[in-house]
Amino acid sequence: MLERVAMHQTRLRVPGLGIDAKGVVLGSKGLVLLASLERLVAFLSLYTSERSLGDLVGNLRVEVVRSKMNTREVVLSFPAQNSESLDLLAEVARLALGHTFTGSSRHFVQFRDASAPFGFDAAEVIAADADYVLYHSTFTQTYVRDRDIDLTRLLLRLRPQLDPSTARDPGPLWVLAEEGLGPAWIQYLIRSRVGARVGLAEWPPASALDEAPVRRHLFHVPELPARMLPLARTTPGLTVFRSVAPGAAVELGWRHPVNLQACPVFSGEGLVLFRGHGLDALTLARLPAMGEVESFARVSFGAGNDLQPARVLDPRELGQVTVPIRLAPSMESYRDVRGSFIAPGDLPVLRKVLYGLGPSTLRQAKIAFAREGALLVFNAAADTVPVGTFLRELRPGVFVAAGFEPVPTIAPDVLFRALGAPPESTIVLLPDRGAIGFPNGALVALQDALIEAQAWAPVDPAEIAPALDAEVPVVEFEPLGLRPMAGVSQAAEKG
Amino acid sequence: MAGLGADVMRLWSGVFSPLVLGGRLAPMRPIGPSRARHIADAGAALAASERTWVDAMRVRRARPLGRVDHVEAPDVPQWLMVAALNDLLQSTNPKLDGMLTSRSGKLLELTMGTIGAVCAPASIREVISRHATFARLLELERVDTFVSWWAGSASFRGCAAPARMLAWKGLRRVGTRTDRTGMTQMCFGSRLDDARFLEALQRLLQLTPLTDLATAHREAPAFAWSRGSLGLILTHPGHTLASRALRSADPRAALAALHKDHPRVAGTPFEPAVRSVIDELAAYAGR
Repeated sequence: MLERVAMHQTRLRVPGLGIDAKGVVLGSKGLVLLASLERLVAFLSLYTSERSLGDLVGNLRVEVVRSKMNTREVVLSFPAQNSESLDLLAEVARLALGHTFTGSSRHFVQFRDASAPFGFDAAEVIAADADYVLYHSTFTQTYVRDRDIDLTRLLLRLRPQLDPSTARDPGPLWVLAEEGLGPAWIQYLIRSRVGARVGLAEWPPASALDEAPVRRHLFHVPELPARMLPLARTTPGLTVFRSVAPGAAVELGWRHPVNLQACPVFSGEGLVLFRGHGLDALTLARLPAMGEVESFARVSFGAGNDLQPARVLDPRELGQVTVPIRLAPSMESYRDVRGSFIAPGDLPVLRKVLYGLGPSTLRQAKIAFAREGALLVFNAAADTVPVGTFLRELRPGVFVAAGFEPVPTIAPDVLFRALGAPPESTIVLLPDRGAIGFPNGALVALQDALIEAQAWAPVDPAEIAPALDAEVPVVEFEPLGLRPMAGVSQAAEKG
Repeated sequence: MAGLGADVMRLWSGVFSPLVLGGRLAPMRPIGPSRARHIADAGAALAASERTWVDAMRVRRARPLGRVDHVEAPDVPQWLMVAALNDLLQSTNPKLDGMLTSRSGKLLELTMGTIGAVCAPASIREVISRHATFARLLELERVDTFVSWWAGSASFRGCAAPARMLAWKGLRRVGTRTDRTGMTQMCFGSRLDDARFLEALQRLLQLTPLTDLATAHREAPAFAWSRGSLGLILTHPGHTLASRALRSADPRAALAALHKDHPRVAGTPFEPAVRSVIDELAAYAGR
């Protein structure tokens, strides 16, 4: 059925096939046919052991197809970039007992091998409505698409295999501790001076009868000393995972059948923990908020018995040393931006921006209007709007223009006192306007301030009886007749 | 058995359905243990289409204690319990006793026989299903009407006074008063032995352990650990359900009831489980 393509041959029978610069038959897509899911796993394992699927994974499609004989096989289809890259895939496919084809939409011919260095062309094109028509030197077969296989779900279902060699020099680790064990492990890390970050991860309850979600402490340990590794691995309730790819980790001592580093399918924002011992993988769509374990260190204060009181001098003896406060440009990046000062000329821009703000920002933001401009204050740094001069919060009630630093660099509390403002005021320090004080009472919720009066029309609501309204059951006896106990018991009736 | 289907529907619409949904609950004629068995067998095969709304409400009763979306259909023991409830209510019917005959006591004894034929629930699903049906058992009420006139008075328990008694109100100086009587007081004022009636009610409650625990704060009949409730708390999910049931109404009163009955289980193999339930309830009730 197949004919070898000769050197400098330009005409081919199968539609969608072309000749590349080297004279090799190549379609726009490559296709690998595998006999079963096990072969697919073997193919992925072999391919990812040396190369990355990163270039292919975006357009890679894995499908289960059905032949006329109702046998189900697996097809991988992907864009064929050039004949060299398809050669590599064909070699791996041969190793996994698969076949490689090239074509465009429906008709695919066998890709070149040692017997036909320029590839193959079909002697006769089959007219069929099937999704795939595959021409091979040993068979010609049509296939109908049965279902798609999601690569991520396939990887999640694969159980890791025992591999003690992964415990040597494991690199960055994730440690999962049961809720009760977490605090003890934190203190152990602090005592051992091991840097780590910790967060509390939650999963839905294991069964319908459990009320609380499953909580576990999740530690990220960049470098765990080798002496601590045996304890971490053998303590019940602690599970150590080796970070193998962004967003994926495998339990120490176990290895995933597929090289996950070469399969960039897991999001870096979340984490998938592949557990050994036949347990299902744990998935976190988003990493929990994490902080340094040092934050949990116990703090102790000295007795303070060695204090020696200094002799206080009268300030008048020292002479005049006061200096005015100035704003100096700062090289630091913008941080703690919690507000904006909006000049009157920028207020129309603010009106337009308000339509794009999220609901939480609108609910939590506050605004105060003054003749000099408007002060917009947010609860979180992420909520700022790109209008006006960004303000950084030095302390509650004191804002300074972002990119500027008050000099001398005195403590924010001292600065607040030096400004002489009443406690219920919010002070804004601007480079070209000096200090402006807004009374806290003038700060109103942004959502109250921005909405104009809306026209509305009343409608008559229709009353709906509560669907599940339950009345009290009230017992009512009905007439019993002349022989109320008839049929119950002869003995009872006689009485 | 020609009227068996009619009896099933009468018991369903008169007692079973109002027990779950509320509204007018009209017990049918006394059933007795023998006929109750036949009715229960036939009732367990009642078409699901007849039960749709009742099943929805039963799920609603079960949801506060466990996140279930489906409750098992009423089985033969549940139908037997409903038949027993029918006879228990009828035993308080004043029309049952004639001038010279006293049938209420005998009916109560037959009811005890019906209750005795029902075994304790064998699974958590059965426990939840029974509670879904009998959760409102102690909420049953009876409206009693008292009529007085210039020459006498009469009381009508569970039925309206006849129109002739209320005629010429002004001339005969007719006065009427209605009272609502709870399930546990229905025996008062009848020829029944109060203690025996409450014992029958207690045994009926003990057949549905979750209802028994959820109403442990009741004044009468006093809560007592039974084979069903002890078996329930010995399992992990049962322990959780029992704790939720005890907390559902009046945790402090329920705790007092458990303490009162604790000496009966002290020294038995059940004591650790009972102690665990009591400790958990005490922590919840803030004691």
